[in-house]
Amino acid sequence: MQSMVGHLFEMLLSVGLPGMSQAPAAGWLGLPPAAVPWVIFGLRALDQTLSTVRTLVTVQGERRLAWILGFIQSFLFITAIAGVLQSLTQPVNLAAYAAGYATGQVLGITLEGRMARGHSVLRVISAAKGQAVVDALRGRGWGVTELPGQGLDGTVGVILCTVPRKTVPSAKLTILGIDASAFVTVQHVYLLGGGWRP
Amino acid sequence: MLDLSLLPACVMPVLIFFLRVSDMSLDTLRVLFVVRGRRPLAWVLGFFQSLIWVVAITTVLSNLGNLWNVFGYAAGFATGNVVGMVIEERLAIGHGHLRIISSGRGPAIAEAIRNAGYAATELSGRGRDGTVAVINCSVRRRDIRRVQLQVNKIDPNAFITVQEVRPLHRGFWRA
Repeated sequence: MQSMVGHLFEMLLSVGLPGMSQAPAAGWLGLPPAAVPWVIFGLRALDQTLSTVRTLVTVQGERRLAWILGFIQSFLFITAIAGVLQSLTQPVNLAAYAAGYATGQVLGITLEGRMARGHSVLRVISAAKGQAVVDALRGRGWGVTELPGQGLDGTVGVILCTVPRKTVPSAKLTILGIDASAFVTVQHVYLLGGGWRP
Repeated sequence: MLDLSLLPACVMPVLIFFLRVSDMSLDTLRVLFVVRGRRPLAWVLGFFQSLIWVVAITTVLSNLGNLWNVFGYAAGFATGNVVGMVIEERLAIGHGHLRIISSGRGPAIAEAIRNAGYAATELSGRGRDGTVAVINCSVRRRDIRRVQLQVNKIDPNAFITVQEVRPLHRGFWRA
């Protein structure tokens, strides 16, 4: 098994870097030159996407998943960079590397938004329609606490509502649908305990 | 510089592994300090991190024929990341802002927090079933657990959230 993997990898990574002991091979990963930029692009995009997800699970303290993602990500990176460094005279490879990085970042952000775990606290400041906002948020099944506040033009309602991060955009729509001039801020929070849940 | 290619082939993956573990651990710490605005420390860590990384990647790239080097590199990265997480948790630098919402036991909770040596600010709010107390309390991150236990002892149903804050000025801070 081990030797098979080794053989496969040697075949894949038959790169001709300066200072390498083995004889210069046909090409990176044994690919036709026309395919190289595409593969570099794909590897880099995938590696950066994984990197974003890894950062996410790192922040959440999931060590095992962070290790696995880190391993795969690093493996893909080293394969891609080897391809670029092997043929620095080919600017298209460099461009593919950079484009892959940029694309991976964007894909990562998108994926992170989809994965969004944890909770956020919404702080809504509404001048006139505080009660209506509170009712709407409770109607959606979330716990709400109101505080009386003082603004420039008199009493305002300060509304605290902790929701799952995934639902922040729809909660925002609910709030702004009732009071378009409400001031809404969002902060990421960790839940330690208690609370009212449906 | 040092010629790592002179090393025996079996030592190299191990060396690469440990280089990467140390550079990723430094990286984790560096990010922590960057986020908290500690510039000189961030510079020093960044310098050593990239120095180590350059040595590691050069060794791998000039010996790609050895599959174990690549495995050492990837495993070192992954392990260093986890080591960084552990260091981060142990250090627990920075401050956390606790917001405790309790329906009946607000004054008692505030009292207990103060007796434990932390500052608390009470606000009165309204929940679905009437008046609630909203207690704000900023503590060092490593003290969060202790405050949480105090609160739970008095009101197991209190709703507690924590968010990270960058320390501002003044206020009462436990020495």
